[in-house]
Amino acid sequence: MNKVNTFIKKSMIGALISLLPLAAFAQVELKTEMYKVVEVQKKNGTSKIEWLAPDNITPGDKVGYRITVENKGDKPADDIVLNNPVPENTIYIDGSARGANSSIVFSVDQGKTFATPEKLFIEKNGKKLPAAAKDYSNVRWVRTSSLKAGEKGSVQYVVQVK
Amino acid sequence: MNKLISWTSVFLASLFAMQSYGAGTSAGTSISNTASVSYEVGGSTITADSDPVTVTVQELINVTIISQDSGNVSVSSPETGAELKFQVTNTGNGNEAFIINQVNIGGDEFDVTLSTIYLDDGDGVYEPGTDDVAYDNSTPSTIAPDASITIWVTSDIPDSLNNNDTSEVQVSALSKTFSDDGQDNPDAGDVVSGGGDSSTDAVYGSAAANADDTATFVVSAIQVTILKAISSITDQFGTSQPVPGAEVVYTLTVTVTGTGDAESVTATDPLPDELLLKDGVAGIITVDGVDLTAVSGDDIASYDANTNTVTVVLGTVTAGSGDTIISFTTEIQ
Repeated sequence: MNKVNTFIKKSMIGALISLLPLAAFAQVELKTEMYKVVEVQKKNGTSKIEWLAPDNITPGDKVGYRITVENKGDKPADDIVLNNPVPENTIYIDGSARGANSSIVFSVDQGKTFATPEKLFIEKNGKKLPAAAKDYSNVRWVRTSSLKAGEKGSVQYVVQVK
Repeated sequence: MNKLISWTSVFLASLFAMQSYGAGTSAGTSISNTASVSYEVGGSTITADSDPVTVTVQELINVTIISQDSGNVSVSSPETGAELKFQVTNTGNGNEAFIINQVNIGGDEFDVTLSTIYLDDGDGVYEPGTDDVAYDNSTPSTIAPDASITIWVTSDIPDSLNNNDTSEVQVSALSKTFSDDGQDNPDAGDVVSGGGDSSTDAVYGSAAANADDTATFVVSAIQVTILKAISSITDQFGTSQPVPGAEVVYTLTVTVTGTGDAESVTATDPLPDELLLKDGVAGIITVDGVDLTAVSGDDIASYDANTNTVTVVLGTVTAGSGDTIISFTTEIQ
């Protein structure tokens, strides 16, 4: 009995030891930044979109989120999947999600399932309707390439405050 | 050119989206966001979260003021206390009070003497003596987000004006928060730090910056007015309580003043659901002391049971020819 216990303890310690270095070596850090997205009118009649400090956010304002991933470990991180629920009291702005080396998918069921926009549907009064941007509950970026040690990448999307 | 068109369409689309929100997320609400990541290293799946980023929704001060008069408002010359009806709606996301200002607009035939602004008692009908609470611009009542008030802006019309002379009056709403801060003509985007609900900043919205509307008085040689009053209430217990089964007698007084003939004068009274004409289409409508049947087509008085409306077709009425008194008995349901 004692022998068995000791064996279990030893193997558990072994498991812990083998996990720890991995976590330490391939540490992917995530940082979210927030901006106020405004359309600035220029003198020549055109306008451009600027991402500014998020001061005085009120209903109707657009808020942009930039999420940066950085591999601070010394091994490549594979199969990177970034998830972000669309915050409460906001709606996703159609076409605003960007991300290099990523395929972007959305959820309309609080993150249970994800698909590209044309494959998303909602049910309204018993009818199946194509989902609109306002129905999206989550945004997901699936990186198509691994993040090498020391490498950084960022994705972004914009919401509008209800 | 193509670029301009596409920007315009983007702008319109975003405006449309904003309107559908109503007042929007309440001032003081926190919007928090945390991203997460999962990845694989050497066959192990690891997950991590970002630190949450949070922003507090500030108070957007927005208001609309809209004339409720359909077309020009006919007045006599002179007339005291001619009223214009406006609706003030808080379209912001916080509680706010508004200062109402009225001015004469130039470029028309006459200016009015601006008088008191009254707060409607809630039924949307101006009743002198009932709607007699003056709108207090020093301590205006707070309007909740998405809520509205109806106000009556009254003016005195000068003497000796010509028929069809017009006068335009502009009524505007100013946020009390901004007024108290000394900002009497704020632009969209202007801020009163800490002036919003829940200690948020108050931010002036574009609707608030353009919150004004006009209405026009027109001098009309002939005026038709109708007054409705309750003559008596008789309940089945011999008292005069307005209880179900009680009979309520209404009197409509139609008055034509000025000079000339008013043509095609028709008095209609759509009754509320709680009141029906006594005996329905078999009932009686009295016009100037003569009992007429409520059946349609046989005389000038009729009752439509479907729309629950009493109608009396008076035709041409000469100004100053005396009041027409219409009375009928209704039953409370």
